[in-house]
Amino acid sequence: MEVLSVENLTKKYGKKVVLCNVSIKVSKGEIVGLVGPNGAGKTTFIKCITGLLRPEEGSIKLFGYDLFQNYGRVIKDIGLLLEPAFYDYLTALENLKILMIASNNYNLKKIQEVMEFVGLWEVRNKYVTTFSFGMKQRLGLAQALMSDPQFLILDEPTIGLDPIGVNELKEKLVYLSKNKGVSILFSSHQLLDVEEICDKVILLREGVVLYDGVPKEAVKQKEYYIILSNKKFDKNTFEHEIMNNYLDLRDNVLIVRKQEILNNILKKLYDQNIDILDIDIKKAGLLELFYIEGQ
Amino acid sequence: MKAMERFYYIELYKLFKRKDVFWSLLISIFVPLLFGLLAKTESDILTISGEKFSAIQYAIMMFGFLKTLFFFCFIFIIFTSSTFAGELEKGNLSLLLVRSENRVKIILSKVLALLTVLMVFIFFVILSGIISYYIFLYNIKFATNEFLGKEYLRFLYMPLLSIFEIALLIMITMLLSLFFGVYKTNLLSIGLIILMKVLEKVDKIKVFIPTYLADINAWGNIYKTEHELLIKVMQNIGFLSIYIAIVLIVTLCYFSKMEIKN
Repeated sequence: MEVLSVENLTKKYGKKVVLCNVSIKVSKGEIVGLVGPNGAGKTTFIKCITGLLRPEEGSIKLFGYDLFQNYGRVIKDIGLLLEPAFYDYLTALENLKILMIASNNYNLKKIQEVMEFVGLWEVRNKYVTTFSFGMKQRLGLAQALMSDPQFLILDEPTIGLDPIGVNELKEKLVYLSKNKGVSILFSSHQLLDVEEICDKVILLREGVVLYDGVPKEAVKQKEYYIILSNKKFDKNTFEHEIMNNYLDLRDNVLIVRKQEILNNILKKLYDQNIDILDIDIKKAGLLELFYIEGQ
Repeated sequence: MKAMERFYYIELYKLFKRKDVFWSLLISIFVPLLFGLLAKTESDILTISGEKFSAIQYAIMMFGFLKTLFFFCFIFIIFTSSTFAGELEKGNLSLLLVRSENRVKIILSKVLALLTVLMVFIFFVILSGIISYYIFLYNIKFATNEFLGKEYLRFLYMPLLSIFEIALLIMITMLLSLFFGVYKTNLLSIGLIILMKVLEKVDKIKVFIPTYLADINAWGNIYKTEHELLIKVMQNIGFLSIYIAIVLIVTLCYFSKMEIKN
């Protein structure tokens, strides 16, 4: 069963295209990692699939229903963690209570269960202002888990966590997915987070899906051709190749993914009188390559 | 509980848990008590002249004093901007929005909670005024020792009109909050009050200015009979209500389709 089905999603901020024809599917019990550098469109994508932003084009289906036509019906089965946001003048327990009341689902036992799960029950009566960032992230996770969601959406949940905290979070996510059948979509710019626990990884850059598949394939070593020039490359010249994910472009660096199109690319550069400083062949996994570029 | 009731309860709970709300309420209660004490001790700090006053007149004079200092305007601008712009900036509002199918209910419950807090403030200022009157002012030379006194209705119109004036200010601040952050919203709302106060001085347009419509001291003496005054008060409440409705409708329409980027 598909929990999330997004088809050709396009989102613009003014004239700037933030997401371009993004199509993603998440199945029941699956952990999907959404990876991309800052500004890739990860948060925008998450806000679109939770109805906080309205896309210009495309369809979003949650649990088989159109998101915007059945908002009240589908949203109650979603747990969301965006940037942790709390009322500083309330205690951790009060923060969770008011969200449960908002969901018309008030149950103190459930709050206790979730707070114990994230390890915050002992400090439930402390004000959120006294919490460390890691504790706030865990409280954010508790907020997302309170309504027993079938689909958990987490935006950069590992940010600010120490390595032990990251491992604990990963263990909890795997537990929820394997034992409770919760589908999880979580965004991160940490390559290792997704490789280890995700069933599927989606690589997003500049609003375009570069890769959608199993992490093993993404880290499999392949040959890439890296072309260096003394001038910036023009995006429009390689529009077709970029759209088809054959090629990446960053300033004066071109990364060609398919050997078959290398001659064609070189011809285009020759026609445009662009000097080539160097052509290098690099063996790397897609994620590794992206990660280097992303930095 | 229905969605609207739930969100109203949440907003009210949050507001009364806030320290700024608590301290502002305490100041509101403290002012009539302080004035009463100064009058009782015939302190040089306070000069009282004119007619003697009843308990209700004293309480409303205290309310008028706080209003003249723009106390209620300032605190309700701050409460409103942090409730709307603050929650939008921090991201708290997103968490509520993904728990409701109807955004309008969330915004209406926030408005209702703020109006409830406004009523609570007015109630406590007047109650504190009445209590201070009987503790400190009873049987002194400025007091009539009556509860209502003469022409008490003229006095009661002031808080009534102020409720509509501050409600309009809450609506305007709420609308501004959808476009600006807390800091800018506060500045713009305060700027708007100053602008309205300046425009009150212009004869041709002052009758359209909300702060003038709500200021019974500026036009109340023109009307000699209680009936004439009542009609004028109702008329001005009507105008203020129209302003409130327009700003509220614009806000609701915009917010129901608004993109939550933060």
